[in-house]
Amino acid sequence: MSKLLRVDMGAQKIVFIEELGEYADFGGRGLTSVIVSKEVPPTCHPLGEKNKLVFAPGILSGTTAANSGRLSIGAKSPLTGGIKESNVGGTAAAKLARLQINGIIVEGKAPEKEIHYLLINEDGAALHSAEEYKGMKNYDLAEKLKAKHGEKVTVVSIGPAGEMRLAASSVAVTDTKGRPSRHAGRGGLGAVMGSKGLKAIVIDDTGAPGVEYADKEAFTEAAKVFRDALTSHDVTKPGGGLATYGTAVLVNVINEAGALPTRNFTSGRFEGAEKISGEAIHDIIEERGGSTTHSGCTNCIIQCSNIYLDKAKNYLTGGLEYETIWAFGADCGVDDPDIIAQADRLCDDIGLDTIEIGSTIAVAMAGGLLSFGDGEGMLDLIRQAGDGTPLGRIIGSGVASAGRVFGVTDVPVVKSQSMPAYDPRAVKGVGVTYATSPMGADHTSGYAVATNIMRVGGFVDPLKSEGQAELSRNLQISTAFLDSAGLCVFVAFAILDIEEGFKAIPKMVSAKTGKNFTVDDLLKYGRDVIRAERNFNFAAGFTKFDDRLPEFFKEKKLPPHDVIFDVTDDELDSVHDY
Amino acid sequence: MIEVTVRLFATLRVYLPPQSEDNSCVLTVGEGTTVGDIFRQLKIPPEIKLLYLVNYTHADEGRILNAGDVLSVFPPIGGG
Repeated sequence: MSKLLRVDMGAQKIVFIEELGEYADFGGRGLTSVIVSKEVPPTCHPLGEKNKLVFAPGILSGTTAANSGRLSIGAKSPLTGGIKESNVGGTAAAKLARLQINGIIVEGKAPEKEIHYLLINEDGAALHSAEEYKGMKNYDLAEKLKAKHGEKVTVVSIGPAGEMRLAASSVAVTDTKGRPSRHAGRGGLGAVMGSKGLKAIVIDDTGAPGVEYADKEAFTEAAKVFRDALTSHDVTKPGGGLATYGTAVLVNVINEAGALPTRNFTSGRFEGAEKISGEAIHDIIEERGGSTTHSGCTNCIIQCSNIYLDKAKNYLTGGLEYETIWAFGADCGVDDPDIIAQADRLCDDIGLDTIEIGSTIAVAMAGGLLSFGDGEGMLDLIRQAGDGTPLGRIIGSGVASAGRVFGVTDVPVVKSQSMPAYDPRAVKGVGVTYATSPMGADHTSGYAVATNIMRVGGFVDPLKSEGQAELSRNLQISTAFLDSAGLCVFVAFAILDIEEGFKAIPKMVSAKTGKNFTVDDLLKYGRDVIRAERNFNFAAGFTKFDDRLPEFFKEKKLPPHDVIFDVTDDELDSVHDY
Repeated sequence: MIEVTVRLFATLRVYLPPQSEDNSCVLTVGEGTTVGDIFRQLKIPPEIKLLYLVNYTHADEGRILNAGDVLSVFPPIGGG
């Protein structure tokens, strides 16, 4: 029997709710966005008592569906001031689903200076004092909580950054090896968790009842078609593109395409790109005995992740991804992979969004705080963020505020969230997503790079404005559903090309829920989720003028292609016109 | 005859001629050589669905190369 947990941090009370009412049909991002839009006053302070932090596995999480291990975390974001769904892999979603928990709604806030952790298992849920873990970094914390509650438990946690309520703080989730290397990074949800006095959630699914299927046989059949699509497509298959080089392979691709944002978005080409490329990192990992092919998340067959060892062949970090390599690499003018890997480890430990922090340091460099290319200086700033020095707190507060502090005009943000690793002038489709996603400058919510650069699902020229609004719209709608299903967005590479794989998804949903669910229902679901999110944002004070890119993208030409972002405001406003 | 630069990445690195550096090689080819001709010359298996740029922008397999052109080729890749 599926249930929701309401955790009142003020009264220290937990209630299990079995009458799901209007929340019954939702999962993942759909559930977090519907709950936030219904229960959180849009004008509330994101770090105050009235905000709610919602954790939700997807509709297909915990089932035998491949790549269904994603967790959604939602709230009003302290970074953007709008609604946020932050998506993360690892091992939490499947366990919550097996415990038949559709969602955890954390409300209110603990008394000042108190800090707790939540333990969830087959017997129920209870809050425990986390006093002894105050200020603890994520890696130590995971070890201590596993020692206490069992080596196989999942730990969802904040590091010192979240406790300090820094706007770029993340929520960590332990991976299949029990390491806090997977992060819900975007939007500062670690700060919301910290503001409520919640340090961690420990999930033990020993003895859990497992997920219920309305029609197990039909589910198995559809899941097989879905899995076959993933194992046959060149990008997602075993030994394929993602398995061999991971997302890091994009460094050279995006650099060749002239779209790799370099030194705070002043060029689309970085002369040091090859040193920090997926190929270079692959060779370093092989040489030192790490792992180039690794599943960080439950039920993943794509295996895009990696394990990176340092020069002494000790574990340094896991899940060293394209975005992180770009943010601490090209954006900061750093071409040393070991420095970048250390930055990744520091952020994972302290609990910070690598995209936001790398870009913040790049803005600080543009403002003259330190030179572009100063790798050691970069690492020092991250450490300071973890220590809470005044300069560290500035860095931990993100790009928009750093731009103000350091007097920088060219600040790459939308809705105050920093822009990821594709310059919108040279990949215009994702530029439309940055502008119009309710999440702020976000690449995964409508990953037009797939069609602009990788020729997946067709081709739309990245350097021209034609066709980009429609591309972004369609991707945002389907992705809103994928995010609600608990599916990794990388399945899109296969299902955008293999129609049977795409159709298998609504079939799996029908077979699991017992309700007839079609492709049209899937698209309507996606539109409904985005509509709820946009309505929340309007009520929070956003207008259409927040669906725009910063001025400099429309005026300054990006070398080497010498392009500007020229998708019109009317086209941007048409994206969510449905 | 004209000279073109060919850059092969990721799993395609194995198709570079020996002594190539930094993923690159310079090939001397006849006038009228197309992108597809280069793939055949380097013996890249035709079943690999390639991703390629000529002078860093998108092109088709039938595109005729000019002297000094740069052809960048990737295998099917994804990311985020």
